Amino acid sequence: MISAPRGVKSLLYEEAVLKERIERKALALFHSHGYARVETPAMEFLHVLSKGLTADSLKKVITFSDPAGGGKPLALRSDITPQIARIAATTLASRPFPIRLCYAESVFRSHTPGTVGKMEIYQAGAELLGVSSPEADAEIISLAIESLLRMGFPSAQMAISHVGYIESTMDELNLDESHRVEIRRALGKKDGSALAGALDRAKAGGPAREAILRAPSLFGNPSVLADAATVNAGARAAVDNLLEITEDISRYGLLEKVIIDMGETRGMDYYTGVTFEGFVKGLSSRALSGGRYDKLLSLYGADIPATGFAIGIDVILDHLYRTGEPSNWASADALVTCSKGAERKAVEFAAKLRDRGMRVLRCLRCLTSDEAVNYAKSVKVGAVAAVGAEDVSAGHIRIINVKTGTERIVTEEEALARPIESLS
Amino acid sequence: MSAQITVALPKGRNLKPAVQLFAAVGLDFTEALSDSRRLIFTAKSGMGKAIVVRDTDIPTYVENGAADMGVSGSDVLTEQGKDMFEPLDLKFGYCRMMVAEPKELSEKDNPKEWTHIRVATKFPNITEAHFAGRGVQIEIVKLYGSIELAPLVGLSERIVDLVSTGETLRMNGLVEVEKIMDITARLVVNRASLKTRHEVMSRIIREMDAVLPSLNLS
Repeated sequence: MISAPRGVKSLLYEEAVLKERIERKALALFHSHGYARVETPAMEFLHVLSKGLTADSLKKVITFSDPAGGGKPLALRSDITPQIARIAATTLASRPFPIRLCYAESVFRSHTPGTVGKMEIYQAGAELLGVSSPEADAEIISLAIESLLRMGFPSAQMAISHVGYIESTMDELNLDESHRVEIRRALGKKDGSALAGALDRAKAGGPAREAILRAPSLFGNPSVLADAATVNAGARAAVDNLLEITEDISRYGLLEKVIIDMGETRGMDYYTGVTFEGFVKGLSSRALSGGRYDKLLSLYGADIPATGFAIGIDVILDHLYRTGEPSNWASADALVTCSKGAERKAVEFAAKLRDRGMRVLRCLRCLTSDEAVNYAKSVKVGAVAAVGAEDVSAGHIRIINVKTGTERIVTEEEALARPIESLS
Repeated sequence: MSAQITVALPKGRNLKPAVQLFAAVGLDFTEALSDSRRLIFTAKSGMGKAIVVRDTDIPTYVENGAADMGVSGSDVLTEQGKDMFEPLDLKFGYCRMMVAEPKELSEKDNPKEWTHIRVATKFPNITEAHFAGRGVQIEIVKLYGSIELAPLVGLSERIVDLVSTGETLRMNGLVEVEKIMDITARLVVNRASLKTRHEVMSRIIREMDAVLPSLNLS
């Protein structure tokens, strides 16, 4: 059977153009804030990529080998951030900070059969390296919000949490990792009874237990931070950090787009500070995610703080493609066809149209009007221009609007003077 | 997405308590109890709509946002491991996930000495995780119903299944030998719905939590 593997697909026509448009909007915004484009390689050495991945993410890495490469296993990139960490730590570390980088690329992850999942995931993102201040996080979060707004989602909502809050509170209880995992999982599901059970099994008591139990209710606009219980310096620092970050976000005028969710523990992987997820109405999964990762670069040899995010271009593309307005998208503006003997005229006319910025196909053999319209329809071309037809007087061209079927005879000058779709 | 809340309700024994629960927070879908052919119901208040689906399909609807929230048994949630919030234990729909075997076998059997067993079940993931945690190797026979039959016809020696009163097991000469977990119904909520509509969704969850003890659902 000739088919593509599950979880990958080809994009054609409108969908490919829509993806390009979404990526361009993101990149244009990033560029306008001074983020420079980086293109990472599609593959890495597995042992290098895996430095920056948790055991769970590592399970999804697609590996293979290069027959000429000496046998070291290779991996398709499953996450751009560890690649940027590697690049920054090895080749950019001597440059002055901050360094601002952005990208639009695919990552590849093995997915569980039977779930709604993809193997090739399109992402676009921005990373701000070398600064640990709250202003850096506020810049990144504001950029993340702005990117969703630019893509046409006025409902964009950024849910912000902080790794340090729960982790420091758990430090206070001297919990071992297995109990921490259980508590994080219950928090991740906002499952109050499972959380209480996990704390019981961990024999956790006192103010730290109460703080963890109350974390899921620290959910809503940033004023909920005032209710946060801070049992030690780490938890206090996390709350103070969020207060500073949200204050700086308010300077961008974007604070109303922010909600605090202190109970969120999902996707903490390499994150060490603030974490965030972006949501838009109508999209059932998160549209973007990111956070501060101050330890990741040290795994690649340079102790550099960093913060950043990745937008799920694939989920946004799917959503806009399914729910967007029916587009008048055309692969080209005109198909120029001709009668026998008028080939030169047709080629010259097509060239003149292109000079005026139009996208023009030349018919490679003579077609009847009907044939030309049918072909134009199938490849999504807006209009047919027939040159040298016998029933049309010399110097005139028949213009047919492919969508409506209406046609008009105009002089060559008229045809060149106006956009071709307005002629028919 | 409309301003309405979409709720996924499970067919079967948890439908009635689920309907009572939503009615108590202003979403009245009592029509769903009398009309078993319709699949979509609108709340009398107009504030929401309900879809009635198989209990094993509830997590799929909620995870993918086809419903904002739903009611699902913790057996189904654990088995499927889908990604969503599970903010409330609704306490109704109680039963137990048990390992059972024929009475004759149990008389000379010591579960602590198991090293390799064959198990028939509707819940392969739960079964595998349970025995992996105990260091017992297992061979799973996946069935879709009438699990009790498997030991009687030699398909497996043991089964893992839900037990409520224990009557079905007894009628088939089986006894419970090990409890894996207690099962109750849970409120499940789509992640994006809770975050993008946090005020209305949080209010419903808070009200349910407050009203649950007085409803006495079973």
